[in-house]
Amino acid sequence: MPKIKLQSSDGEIFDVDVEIAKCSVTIKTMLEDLGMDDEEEEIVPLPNVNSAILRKVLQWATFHKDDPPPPEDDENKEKRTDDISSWDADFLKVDQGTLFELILAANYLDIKGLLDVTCKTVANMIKGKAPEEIRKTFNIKNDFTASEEDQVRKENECLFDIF
Amino acid sequence: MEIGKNYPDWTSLPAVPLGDIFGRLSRRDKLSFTMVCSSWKNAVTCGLFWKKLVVRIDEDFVDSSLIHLTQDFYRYVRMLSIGWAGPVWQQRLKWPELKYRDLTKRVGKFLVILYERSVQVEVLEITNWYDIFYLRKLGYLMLRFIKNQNNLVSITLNNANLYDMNFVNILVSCLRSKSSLRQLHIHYSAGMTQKNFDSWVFTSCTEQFVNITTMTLNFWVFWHFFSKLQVRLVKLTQLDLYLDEGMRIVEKVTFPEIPQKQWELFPILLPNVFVNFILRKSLTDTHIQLTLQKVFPIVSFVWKYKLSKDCSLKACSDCLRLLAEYHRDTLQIVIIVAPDVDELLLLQKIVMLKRRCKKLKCLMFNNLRWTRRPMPVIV
Repeated sequence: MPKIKLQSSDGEIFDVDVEIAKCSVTIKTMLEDLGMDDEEEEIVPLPNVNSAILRKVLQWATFHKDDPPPPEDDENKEKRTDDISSWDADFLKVDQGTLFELILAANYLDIKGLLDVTCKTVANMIKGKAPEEIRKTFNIKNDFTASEEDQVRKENECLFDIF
Repeated sequence: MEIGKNYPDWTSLPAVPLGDIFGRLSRRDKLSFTMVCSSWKNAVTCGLFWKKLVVRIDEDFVDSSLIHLTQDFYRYVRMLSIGWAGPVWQQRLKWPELKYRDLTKRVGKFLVILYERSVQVEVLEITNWYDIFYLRKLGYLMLRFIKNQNNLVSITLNNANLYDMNFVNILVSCLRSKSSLRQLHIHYSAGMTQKNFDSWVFTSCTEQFVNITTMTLNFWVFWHFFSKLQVRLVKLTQLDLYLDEGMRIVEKVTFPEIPQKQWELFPILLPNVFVNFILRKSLTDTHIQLTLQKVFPIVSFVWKYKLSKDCSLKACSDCLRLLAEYHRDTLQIVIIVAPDVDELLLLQKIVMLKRRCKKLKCLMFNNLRWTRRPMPVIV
């Protein structure tokens, strides 16, 4: 199987099957645009992905290399979050920093399947929580100004608003 | 993990993943999401997430999140679909009196917000709307909102049964000033609504339809509509006519006589129209003749009914004969499901129909199926 070399932001070089690398639309387009499909061994630089994350991404891509292409988003269909496979769930048992980097990498490399499953994971962390609890979960500072004080009122209203 | 040390900066997440996450949340969780921080709120403050607002009255007013979200994002709403998720008698069992009153109060508040903020939608769908008990007030608020619309392109009324208020009366007055309207779809399965359409009010508003390109009407309603039609509806190209099992129209209500002179005007009054029939009940051979009038340029003819004693082999046979005789130049799709008729007895007629209709793409009669490649999309 033909291979290509991917270079992470910190300079590490990964030898990867072309087919696996092509699950990233960004890499796929790059190869096509640059005509890098030839025998010559070129190095594809990925300045936005460090080696630790690239290793994870490639691990994910290798496991999912035979998956059918993910279906196009249908805006009418409710998006589920409870259909994460057990392999993916295990794969995503990582700290928030890694999860965050994986989302950025999936977004930059344009890997829909990986973006789906990482976003599902974050959505599940948000579900059922009040705004203050979400801020706590993700260590986010409330930056709404005092003029938006009714925000607080709304929050309280929401919390107790079960009728 | 120590707070503030190993946490990534979630507020800096790009718009695409933020939007993806947001799209996976329930309405209540969406409200919480928008209240977390300004960068998250800004990421979803655009038409993409609010353009289409689908409101299920019995599900979306359990808490006030919809009302709060509407207050924040009303300016992006371009399409509103509102109604009950199921028939109201089921809802009444589900909702104790007090909660039911509370619920309708909230719906009222929602409609007042739409009206007061002057929300302008292009597409409006009202489904399963029943005018009973407290809903009469809501019906009034709903119609006040519709009257306030200036850009309505499409109205769909699907079992929007506000009959006590003479819904058609008010619908018509709403239509009066809506030259933007291009599509009007009216679906009624409840028999009692027919009296609304029998009124002169509905038929008197035909002038309001001059800009409409696509229309869905009960066949019987259309019959009345056409019998009094005076203006040319040049832009109307697609006319979907249907008859449903629930409508007892065919048995009980007669089709008023339309003079031959009026029929002759059909190609002049409706010069660009193509007709699609969807019949979901058994018909007698007389009604088949009414349906398959020579003047209708029928493109698609779908007739499905459940097992019935009324429907004879003769009705089906007449149907095939009339289709082949009158509609061979326009017909593209014919689908007939007649469980009490043996299609093999009509084989000759079916083959003739197929041979005569040059534009035919799809022909089905019970188990006999023929399609021209490539396969047409049948909904």
